[in-house]
Amino acid sequence: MSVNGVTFLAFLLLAVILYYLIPKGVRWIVLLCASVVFYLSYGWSAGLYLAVTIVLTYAFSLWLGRLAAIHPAGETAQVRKAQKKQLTHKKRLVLAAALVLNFLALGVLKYGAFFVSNVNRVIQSFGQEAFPLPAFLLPLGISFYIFQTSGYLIDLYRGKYPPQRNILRYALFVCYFPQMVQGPINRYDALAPALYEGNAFDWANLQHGLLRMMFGVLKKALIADALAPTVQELYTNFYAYPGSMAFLGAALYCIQLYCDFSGGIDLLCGASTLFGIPMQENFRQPYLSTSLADFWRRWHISLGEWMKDYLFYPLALSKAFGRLTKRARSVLPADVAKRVAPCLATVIVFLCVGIWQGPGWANIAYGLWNGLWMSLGLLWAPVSSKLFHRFSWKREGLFWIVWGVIRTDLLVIIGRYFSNAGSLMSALRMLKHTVTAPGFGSLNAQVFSSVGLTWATVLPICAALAVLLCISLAKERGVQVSQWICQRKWYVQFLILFAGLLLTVLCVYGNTDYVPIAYVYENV
Amino acid sequence: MDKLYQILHDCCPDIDFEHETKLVDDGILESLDIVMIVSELSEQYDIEIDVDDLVPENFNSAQAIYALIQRLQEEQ
Amino acid sequence: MSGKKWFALFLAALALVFVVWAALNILVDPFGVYGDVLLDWDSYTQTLNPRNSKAVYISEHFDAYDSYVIGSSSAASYEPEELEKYLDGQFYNMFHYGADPEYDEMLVSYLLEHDSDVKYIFLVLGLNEANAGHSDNTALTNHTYYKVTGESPLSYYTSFLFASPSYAFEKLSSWHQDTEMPQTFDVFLPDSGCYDKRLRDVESIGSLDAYLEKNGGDFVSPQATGAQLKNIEACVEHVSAIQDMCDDAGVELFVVLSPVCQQQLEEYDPASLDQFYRQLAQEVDYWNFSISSITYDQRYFYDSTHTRNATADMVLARMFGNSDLYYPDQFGVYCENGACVTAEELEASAREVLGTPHTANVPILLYHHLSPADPESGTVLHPETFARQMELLEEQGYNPVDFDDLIAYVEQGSPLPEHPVVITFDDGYLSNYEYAFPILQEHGYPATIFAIGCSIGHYEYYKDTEYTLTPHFGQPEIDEMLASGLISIESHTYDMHQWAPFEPEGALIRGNLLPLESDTEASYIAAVTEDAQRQRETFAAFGIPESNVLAFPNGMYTTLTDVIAEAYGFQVTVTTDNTRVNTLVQGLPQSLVDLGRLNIDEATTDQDILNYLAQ
Repeated sequence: MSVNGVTFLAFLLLAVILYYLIPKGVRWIVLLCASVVFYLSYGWSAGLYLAVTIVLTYAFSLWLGRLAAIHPAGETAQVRKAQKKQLTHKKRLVLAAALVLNFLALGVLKYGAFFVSNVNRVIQSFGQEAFPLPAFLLPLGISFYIFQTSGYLIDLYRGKYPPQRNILRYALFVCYFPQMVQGPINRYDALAPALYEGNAFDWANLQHGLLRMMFGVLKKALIADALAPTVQELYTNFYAYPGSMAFLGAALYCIQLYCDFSGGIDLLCGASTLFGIPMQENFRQPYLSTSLADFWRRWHISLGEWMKDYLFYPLALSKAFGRLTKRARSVLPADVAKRVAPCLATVIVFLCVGIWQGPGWANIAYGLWNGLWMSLGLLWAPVSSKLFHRFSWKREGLFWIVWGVIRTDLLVIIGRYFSNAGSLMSALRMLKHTVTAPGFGSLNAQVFSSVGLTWATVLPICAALAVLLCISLAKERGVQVSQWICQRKWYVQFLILFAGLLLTVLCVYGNTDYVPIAYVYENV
Repeated sequence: MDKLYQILHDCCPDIDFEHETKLVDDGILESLDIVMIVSELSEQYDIEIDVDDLVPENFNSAQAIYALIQRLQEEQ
Repeated sequence: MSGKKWFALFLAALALVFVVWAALNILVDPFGVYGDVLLDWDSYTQTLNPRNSKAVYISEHFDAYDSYVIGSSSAASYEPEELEKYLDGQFYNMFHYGADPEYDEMLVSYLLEHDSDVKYIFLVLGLNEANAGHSDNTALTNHTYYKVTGESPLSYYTSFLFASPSYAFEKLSSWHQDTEMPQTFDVFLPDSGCYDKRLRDVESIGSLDAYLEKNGGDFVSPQATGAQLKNIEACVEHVSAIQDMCDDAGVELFVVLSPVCQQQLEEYDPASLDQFYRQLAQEVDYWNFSISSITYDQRYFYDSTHTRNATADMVLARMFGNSDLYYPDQFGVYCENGACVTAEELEASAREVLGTPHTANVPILLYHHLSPADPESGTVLHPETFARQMELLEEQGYNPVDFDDLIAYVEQGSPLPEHPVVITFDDGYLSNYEYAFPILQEHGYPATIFAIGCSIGHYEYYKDTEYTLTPHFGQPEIDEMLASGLISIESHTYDMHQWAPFEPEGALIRGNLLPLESDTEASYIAAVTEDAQRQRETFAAFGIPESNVLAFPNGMYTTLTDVIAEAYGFQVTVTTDNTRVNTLVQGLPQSLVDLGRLNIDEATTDQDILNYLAQ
């Protein structure tokens, strides 16, 4: 069932009513049932894959939990230390086995075909026959639930909290339906309390949930969906237009992606709020970031945090990286040497972020593009700091903030050449086209209208973007717009609600069976 | 403590370690900075800082960092 | 405000949204369900959903009609006006999108029940009727009037209430873009129920190759051949039911299997066609036009599943024995009392007919002023040159004809001589009478002079100015030339060939028939129509027969010009395009539109002329 359809709304309504009708102690069961129904609506086989992951990670979680509960009880400190070391070693093996199994599933299902095609390319150059490309079913949300369960297992390994012993409750944590489509990657310690506790009905939750859902739906429909055809055209046929249009396409894709992704998250977080369950936030006005590092703390936050806690820190603080730092010190100036390890870890992390986006060399290039710029930023920091001191510039000054935002967004836009071009080669071609043939002179209304940008399409999008920008700037200044709205006079609230609902119903939910009249006639 | 300040300033010259008390919560200290600081501290104080120790409470202020160092030195 | 109150507010806003939504659909009424009071735009609602909109339209106009054309869009080309030439009924074309014999039966039942004085039902079938099943009635663009289907009025009226608002918005924006001419959103003529084919019926036809080059996308061969017709049983059953209903009501029923285009025919197994022919013959008497010589000439079709209006005219002429209108030999077989023909037989006779040509190429020569004085300037020709060129025609065996011959060829199928050619003169100069007329008389050649109405009889001055002009002939010359029977005088517009330097300063100058920049569609139509009207009056005043041929000044025109000219009664229009090969197709009046001509002046060599003639 698509989360953008009326069916999902009806499903949600039913689930909410049931949730608050039954006794608090068993309310989580409604969520579990709803989640199962939701997931199975995408097909039984996907459900099977998910069930296997749940059972497997559940078994490992109990094992890890039992190991974590053992306290070294040796006579002397030395014995206890040895026991602890042995225990840690064992825990590490168990975790490693669990993670390998978990990521193997993801690797085979999501990256199998990509891997085989690259192997084929190599062996074909030696004249060998190619392997047939595997075509696996990709279960809904696999990248999210694999990461979520892996994070859970690592937390257990670190002894952060005891494991969930009830397999049904654990299953709910893994397959809670609002997080299945596009995340966020929730943390057990943050999600579990609200998830299992029968939350009391609260009108305020209803209010905030509904408002947020409406906001998300409108953001997606009025901006992302409206831009989609233009972006599609500019990415697929970029060579037919001046190169600057390719850049415009990438920039519009940034907007489209943000509105689509964050709009979806708003819809689903809002839905979760109806049950009184807060999910992890995923976006914080990313395009107002002043540096690429800042951007990645505001964009897809749950993924960034996951990467930081479960990959970046362990990597950067590992013994191997410690040795690397030591070696660097002997050959490089101190300022640079201590930055080598974090830089390398950053590059590796963003390589993983790129791969996480999906199979293909373009995604890997996308990851590297981000990782390399952030490493450069880190190396550049001491120099820039000296410059700022030398000339007494203020980082908080408007000029530097605006400059930072522009520079960051520019890097993000160029990065998006890679993540949406389909292949590395076409991304590079598109980039080359932008640089070598910008063709500013041949930009005219004709060119814009041939990619679907006419006044009639652009004006509503611009109006919606302007509203979004205002809301984002307000949030940036710490003003919650939903709070602000709730404090208005009733008729102002009514007008805002009416306008929002009118757009939602007329543009989105009521607009499903439409066939353009030209199409009706021409297909006679 | 002065030695700590020196190390911190070498790593992140733009940050006011003397007065800030919400370095991590307010996003002043980034994960990259933390990693750099941690590896410097490990080097200078000869301690082993574990991933588990990388929680905001331990890095929100210079005092907190100092406390962490002392605790780890005692554990050794 | 408490959350509870807020939620009440939310529900109230939501309710209001639904009210607004319903109000929008009722007021704008894109499907013509609620009376369409605001825009009253039948052409639009019929385009979006012809089933519903036509049923509603007819329910309000039962007193104006008593006979109906029934069928899918293959019935679209049967115009009431043509049918009424043969049958004394008031016809309405009820055709709908999508072959659907079951719906045809429902429709006939509805009409017979609600219209008390039905005279004729004209049922048109195509191969699609024998192939496709009942269309999905749930889609709003197919959902029809409740009185036809027997649906409850409540369910009918509510199902359109929450139609996608895009339908309403599209109707409003189309209203904004509406013009005099049909566009994809208003393709119907609500008074007749037919498609508005004014634009396609003035398109240049030309050779088959040229036609296919232009419209090839609409004539694509099927990917697979030998398919079986899947719906024969049901189709025949519905036709039989229609016949029973008509018999009971004393209504005369005509069943016509409409002409099929080669590309559609190729798709089906001939044995399956035979089965259809046979089963249909067992139930009703019908005319079978499915396969004939025109099957293999795409020019008789708008696209592979739709015959031209002119083709339907030929069908009617054949059915009702109208010998004044051309139709090919072996066109249509009447199958009665269970007898029928096979696809193979039809195909064989079609091939045989195709052996005789049904098209002719007719070059047209264009002259202007003749003068022995200054033959070097512009379009002026020395009379001796003209005389020599007439000799050339005779030597080379060309046979000059006039436009009436062309019209007769196309409309009645009257033969043309071998190597036909048409001689024309533009503007109406006195020199045509002084020099050309005697030479033409000598050869006995017919010729056509396109006269500018406002210049007739102006021997000295440009209109009522004091600017001198090349003399134009007047009443005495006209009388003499017309009396000879060789010369016909046709229209070069009344005053749309103005000469700017001689016109008053600041006036709107119409040097030719192209719309001016300041023209709106309406002002342009008004200007062209008014000019044609004045021309008609002028010709009448000079005793010139009403003109049915129009030469565009400077050879310039737009599609709209063609449409206006056609509507005003001009059967032939000529341009100055010497690259155009004038291929006349028997039965297709539009092959007389925008004909090309070779402009001849002193620079034109005999070889140029011969090359052009041999095109």
